[in-house]
Amino acid sequence: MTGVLQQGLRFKRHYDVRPEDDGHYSVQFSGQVATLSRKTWDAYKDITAKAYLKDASSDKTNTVKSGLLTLLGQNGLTYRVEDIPAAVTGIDFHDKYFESFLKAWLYKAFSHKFWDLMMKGEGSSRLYAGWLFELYHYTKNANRHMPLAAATCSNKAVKSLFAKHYREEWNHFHFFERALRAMDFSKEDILNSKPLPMTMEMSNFMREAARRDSVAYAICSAVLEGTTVDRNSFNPFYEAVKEHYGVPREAVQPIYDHLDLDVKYQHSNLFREICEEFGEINAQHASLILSYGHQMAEHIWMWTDNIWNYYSKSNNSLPNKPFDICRD
Amino acid sequence: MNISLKRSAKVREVASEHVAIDYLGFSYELKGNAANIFSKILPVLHSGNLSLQEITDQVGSAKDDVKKLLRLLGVHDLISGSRDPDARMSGVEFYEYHRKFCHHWLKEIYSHPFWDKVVQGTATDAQILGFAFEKYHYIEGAHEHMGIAAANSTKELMPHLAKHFCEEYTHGDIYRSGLVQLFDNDVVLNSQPLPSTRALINFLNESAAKNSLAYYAANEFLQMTENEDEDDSALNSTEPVSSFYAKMTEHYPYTVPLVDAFIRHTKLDQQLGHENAFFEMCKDISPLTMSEVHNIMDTTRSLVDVLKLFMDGIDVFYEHFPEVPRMPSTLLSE
Repeated sequence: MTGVLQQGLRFKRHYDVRPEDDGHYSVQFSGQVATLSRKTWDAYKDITAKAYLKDASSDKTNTVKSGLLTLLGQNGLTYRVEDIPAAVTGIDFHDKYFESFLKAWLYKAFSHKFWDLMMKGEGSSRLYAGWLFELYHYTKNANRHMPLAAATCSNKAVKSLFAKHYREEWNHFHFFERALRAMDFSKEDILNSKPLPMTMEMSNFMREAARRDSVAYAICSAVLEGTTVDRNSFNPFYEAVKEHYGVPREAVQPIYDHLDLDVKYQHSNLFREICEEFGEINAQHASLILSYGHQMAEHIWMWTDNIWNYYSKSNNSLPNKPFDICRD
Repeated sequence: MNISLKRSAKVREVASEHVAIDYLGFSYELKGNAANIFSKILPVLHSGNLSLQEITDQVGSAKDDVKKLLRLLGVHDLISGSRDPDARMSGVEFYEYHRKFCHHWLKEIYSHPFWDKVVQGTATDAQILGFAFEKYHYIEGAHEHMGIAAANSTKELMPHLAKHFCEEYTHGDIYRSGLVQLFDNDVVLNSQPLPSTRALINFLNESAAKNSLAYYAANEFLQMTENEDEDDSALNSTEPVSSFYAKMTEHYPYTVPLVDAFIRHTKLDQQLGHENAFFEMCKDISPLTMSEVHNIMDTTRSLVDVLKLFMDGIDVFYEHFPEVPRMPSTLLSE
């Protein structure tokens, strides 16, 4: 057991850091912002980077750091393992924990430069088309994980909710197909295209979660649904691609139609309904579920990076194509 | 049928009366008139939208010369051709075909920018430690995908897949033995892989459940990254593996126990003779249809892409989010 950990302390996850004009640093945590002096921020970076290293366990190091740890604790940047609740109700898990974490997770998920550059006019219609192709596959691949989640669930009420969700979602890839057709891709181009590896992982990870734990699967789904509820966050992106890259209205409207349908079905409330089915979630189970939720947010970031990396290179094929024994 | 230059062929040089093309480890040169015609029809060959007749019509006066050039390119397999859909490929023929592509694709892994950052000493500590954790997770993942492969195996391949699992399932422990010199065992065991590492493991898990031979053919590519002779497996043309590790420990002295573990694993894999396992497997299989060859090759190509993603993750994710090790969430951690 290493130094900081020896004292039963853990660091909270931070999601953003901004230097302020007055020389302080604003460190963003879920639901709170801590303002640290430059010296404290540097010490914080150092101590968190080494927190788990064995050589950070010497008594001397601990003494030096004890003052800092007290300061960080006072700012709410650390927590004690013994303070983790042994169990919470399903509803509390959703309302008091998940709801407050989701905003920070989505902030991390969408912190990739892709969004900023596309909005500023430094992307391309090729990138938008590539992004549509990957969304098409991702939505089509719902058929790889949604029915699996229903099939592997042992709670009758939750199983029914998964089944209903699947019934409402299974064919939504047609929205993205319509958008791609409006960008002059043929039906054959779309059908014969191949998803990027991270697009496949989005559904493979959901399949993994479905096999492991129904609530872990549900939280991944909730993180993804969380990306579709706020029109103020996604409309400017679509309006910008029309303005900057000459993307036709018909290649954007199906996306709006899809988002409207999701809102109509109230899919963003599904996770709360599922959590309601659980009288109690113990700390270990909660850790597993939250880890899946956080990892799903990280998956979105990595997925965006894969799309950016592949489609920003003009020599990569658009659409991406499978191996062809005659053409390779 | 439309004609295109093979997608794996790279035109290295286009000059007046001289063209150089690389394809699957071979180099081809065109000179004089042939080179000039090639330069003229190259955009059409890249697009693959025209038939032989349409290409010759477009070029105009030199129709016979174009036909002669395309015939020559066809003889050397440089342009797309049709395959008899009823044809079969023996297991040994497939082994050679697959190996030829894998050798070519290995270059995409060895040229990843992350290797150079390590050699130059410009990688961050988070990237270096992250690299060690991700390698551990990837090797530990063998427990998952090799188990799934053995459990879903065809009759012919079961002995090979069972043997491979039995020989490999403990290899994650070798990597862990390096990491526990720097971190507590519980920390290593509870750490979480990057999304891109999970992508690699999950891809192998899914392939293992679907098609034993396709899974093993993809796995063969991974094996080649461990088993190639030092001269062949240079991380770039001048930097063999041992020299890479020497640079790593020179720039990052704390990695000595990690590198020891990497090297122990590579040597163990080489001693186990896994480099022959795929050949032995291919000798046992019935001739493959073209559709089967297509599916297996596409699985291996997908594995190459996901292995590149694995490298991207170490490089870019740890650059943006330098949290190592990546610990699970709790009710109070977020």
